[in-house]
Amino acid sequence: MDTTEHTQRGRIDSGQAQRAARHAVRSYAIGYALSIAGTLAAAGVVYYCAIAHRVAYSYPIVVAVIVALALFQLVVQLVFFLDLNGRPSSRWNLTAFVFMAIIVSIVVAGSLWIMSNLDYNMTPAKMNAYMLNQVQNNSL
Amino acid sequence: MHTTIPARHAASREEERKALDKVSFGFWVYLMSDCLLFGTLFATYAVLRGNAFGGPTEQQIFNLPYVLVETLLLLTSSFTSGIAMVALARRSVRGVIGWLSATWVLGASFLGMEIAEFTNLIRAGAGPQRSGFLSAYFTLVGTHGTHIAIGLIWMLVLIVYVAIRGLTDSSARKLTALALFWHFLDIVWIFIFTIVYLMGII
Repeated sequence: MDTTEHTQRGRIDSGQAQRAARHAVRSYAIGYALSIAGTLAAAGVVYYCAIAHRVAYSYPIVVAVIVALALFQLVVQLVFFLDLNGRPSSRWNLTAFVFMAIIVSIVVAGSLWIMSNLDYNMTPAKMNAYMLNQVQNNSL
Repeated sequence: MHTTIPARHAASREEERKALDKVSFGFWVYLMSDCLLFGTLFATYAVLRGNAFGGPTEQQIFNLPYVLVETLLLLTSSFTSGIAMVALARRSVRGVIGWLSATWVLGASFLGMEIAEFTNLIRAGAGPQRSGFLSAYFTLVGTHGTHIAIGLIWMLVLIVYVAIRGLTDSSARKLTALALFWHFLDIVWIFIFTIVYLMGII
């Protein structure tokens, strides 16, 4: 009695494990295919626009397209490779990820903003105007 | 007597699952903090990328087909490391060792291509001391390469470990952490590929 029950449970366990393994392989295969598609699409856009010069292009639009493709691959790999899908089991992983993403955006966007602002204000013409202004103010 | 054995077995499996979850989450938090490191390096690169100081610019040194091959190698290695995790779930020692070895070869090829690229640049006088752009470039891409090198050493150690000890609970935890690390490095590379190489070429 005991032994048959035990083997039956074992069989069910291994059946579930097989299904889970098949599901995992499919998940990795989908993630891999979508990532390759994203990589090739981004490289293709850059090749046709910047290297082969097949089409006239505007820099901001091409940048927007390839950044969108990178974000697409990020989501694909998070979902299909790292199993990050908002389910209760991975909720804290998602929370830590969102926190990291906010900090990285602040650091990157903030650095670019500050540095471009400094660059703009410290070009020779601007500096000249600023100094002339100071001189005038002092002489008054 | 007989009934207690499966019960204890189930309890220890539940404990083991909890331990695995804890290790995965702890390692995940480490990966997120590592992302912050890469975030600061990306910010530095974004600020300095235009400052070639009369030296070579992005368009002059980046080669799209070469970088595309590197990208596909690393992406494929991320996929094979995932399949090694499936082999782990199936408790197949051969599968784990086989797929991890494939991952190792792909990762080592990627690193080899990167080292060749760096060597060529330094030989051509475009080393990190040449300009602000190149300093930031070598720091960002080199930090990623260092991570890859550490991952490869770790992977080699684990392959030997699994070959000797088999798939114990402890090796399962180590393998899970390694797979997370490797997927994470591929995600960082997607952004290096896009922001450094693709945006540099256009």
